[in-house]
Amino acid sequence: MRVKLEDVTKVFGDKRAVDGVTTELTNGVYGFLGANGSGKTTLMRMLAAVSRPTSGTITLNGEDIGKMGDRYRDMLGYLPQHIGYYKHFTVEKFLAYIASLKGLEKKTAAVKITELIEMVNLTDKRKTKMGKLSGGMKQRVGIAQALLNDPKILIVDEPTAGLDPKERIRFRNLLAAIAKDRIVLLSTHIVSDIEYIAKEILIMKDGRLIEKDTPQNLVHHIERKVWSVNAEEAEVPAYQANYKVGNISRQMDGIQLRIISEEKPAVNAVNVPVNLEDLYLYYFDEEVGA
Amino acid sequence: MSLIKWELVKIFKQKSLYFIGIFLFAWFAYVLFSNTSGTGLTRQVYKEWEGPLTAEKIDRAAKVNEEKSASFEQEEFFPDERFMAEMAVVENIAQSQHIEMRRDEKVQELNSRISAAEAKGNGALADRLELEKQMLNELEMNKIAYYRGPLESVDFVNVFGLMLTGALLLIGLAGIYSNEHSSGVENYILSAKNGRTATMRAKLAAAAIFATVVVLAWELFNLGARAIVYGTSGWDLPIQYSFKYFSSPYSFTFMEYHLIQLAIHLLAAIAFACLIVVVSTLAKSTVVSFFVSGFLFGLPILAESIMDLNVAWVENTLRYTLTNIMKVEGLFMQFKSVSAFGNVVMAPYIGVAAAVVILVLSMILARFLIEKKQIA
Ligand SMILES: Nc1ncnc2c1ncn2[C@@H]1O[C@H](COP(=O)(O)OP(=O)(O)OP(=O)(O)O)[C@@H](O)[C@H]1O
Ligand SMILES: [Mg+2]
Repeated sequence: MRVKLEDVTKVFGDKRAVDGVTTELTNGVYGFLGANGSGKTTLMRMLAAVSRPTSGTITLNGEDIGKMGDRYRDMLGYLPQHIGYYKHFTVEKFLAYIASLKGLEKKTAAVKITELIEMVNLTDKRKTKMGKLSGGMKQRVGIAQALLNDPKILIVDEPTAGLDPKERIRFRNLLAAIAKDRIVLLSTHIVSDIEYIAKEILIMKDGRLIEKDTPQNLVHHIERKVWSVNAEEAEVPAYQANYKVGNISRQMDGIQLRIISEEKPAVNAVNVPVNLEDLYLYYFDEEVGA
Repeated sequence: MSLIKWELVKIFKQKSLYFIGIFLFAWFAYVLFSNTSGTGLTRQVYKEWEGPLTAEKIDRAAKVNEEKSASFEQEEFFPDERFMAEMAVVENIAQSQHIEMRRDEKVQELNSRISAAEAKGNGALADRLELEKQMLNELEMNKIAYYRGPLESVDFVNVFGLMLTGALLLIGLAGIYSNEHSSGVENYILSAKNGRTATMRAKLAAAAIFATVVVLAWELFNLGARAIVYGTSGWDLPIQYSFKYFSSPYSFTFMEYHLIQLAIHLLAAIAFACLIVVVSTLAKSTVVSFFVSGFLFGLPILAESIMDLNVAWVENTLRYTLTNIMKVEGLFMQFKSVSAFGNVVMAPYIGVAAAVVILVLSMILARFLIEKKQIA
């Protein structure tokens, strides 16, 4: 399985929401990072066949996904960023409807629905109306519906938004378990969601795909650019004005700042081990004067 | 469950449908039942005259009519209910004879117009006039019975029936696609294997089923309530007994005409239902969808009230709009026809063809739209 994007562009009026993205996805989990408005949702919609590129092509194993039509959508699982639902449908009924949309046989659907409801830990909410669920529970129903047809291509747009830490871990493990023989594209703002399960990380900025690499390599790029600095409280604003500042923590002997910088920001600065949070900051913290 | 069932569930779960439906039915029931005084007596008097109109019966009716009319010459004459009921029957019989006379005059007139058309070499016009003449010649007003039931049942279609169909289809179907958009379920629909063509097919089928249920529901009410109030006589009388159709050349009984009327109304209603589906697919919200479809429905009525109906092309165009096809009466009240490829095509056929064209175009358009549909 190989999804290929070639010069994929989506234009809204004079806004290039996705701008000439060329890349390739094969089996495994892809983490999709990018600041608000960078074009993740727009790109994922095109992959989920709910929207078409203004220009450029998306192919699956060499065949245009638009031309594949039903055959492509048959392999698809899609969780949109804002989960839609019918307020008056129960969880079970809602999933049965989606199963119908996906063309599942009645019996297969019933088995699959029970299995997935259990998987997302909602067995006791099976007969609850969708409108009465909490945000995180709805999100879990959304995850379940995406998996109903055992999709070969799973596109999940911020699936962990609204999940509590326990459910987030559960979801992460679930993805890791199923990702072997399918393509999973997952967007998020929470780096830890993908840190350990992503085969590769894609980074979007202003509609462009600026990085696509393994987490190790990406971290490696900024190996010597992450610093820890001890400072006086009064110095903090100056650091914030001149550097990308991550974590700020109060220590016994002053304030400790985590700073991303090409050069050593202070004499007492020391390099520290890099994590993906730093990477995010490295690419997306715009509020730096320098 | 099949996709059609799901669509039906979504349509019938809308509570507003029942609020409006019950309100409208209650109103019509009130109008009907509050307007029935004296029907018992009238029915009884008609019973005495009921049956074929023989020459003897016609004469007798004419005499009674004369006597009764004379009574009005007396001073201080206060007719009782029975008197009025009898008066109504004999006048009715006189009227039937009047219709036959008018028919004969009309045939004469047509004869001379046919000759004139032929003289001018206008064969197409002559053919049309000839057809009208033939139809008129088949008309016979040879029966009498109490017919208020069929009369009102037939009239129900173009007023209350039209209102019920229009209102319930708009309420039931305006959101059929736009609700998917506003609820966000559109995301799953458009990305699912059976979400596009198959779902649209299901929506169109569900819309057609819904339209059928709506029409059957009010028809059941229409027939049932009237059978209770007026009984079931009169369905075998010619529709010319209805004032609206007295110059119609179609020799149908009330029963035949009512069935035709329902069939045409239902066809146009299904076409309108599919048109609503198209509008709903294009609309960003159900409110917009509702008003756009409502506007399309009301447009012919609005146009009739602001445009000059004596202009032939306006009248001829408006007759074949969905709303007026649903009214049906405009296709049958007069003889209307056009010549096409050497044949005479009568208004009812044009009406049916127009409804079928709108239906088919709506289905093609709906399918095209759903295949191209994108979430912005
Ligand atoms: N339908 C639309 N019309 C106009 N502009 C749009 C439309 N959809 C998206 N955009 C613009 O395209 C850009 C990319 O939006 P998109 O939703 O893809 O970003 P995102 O990376 O998913 O952001 P977030 O992290 O907030 O979800 C934004 O500037 C947005 O305003
Ligand atoms: Mg987004």
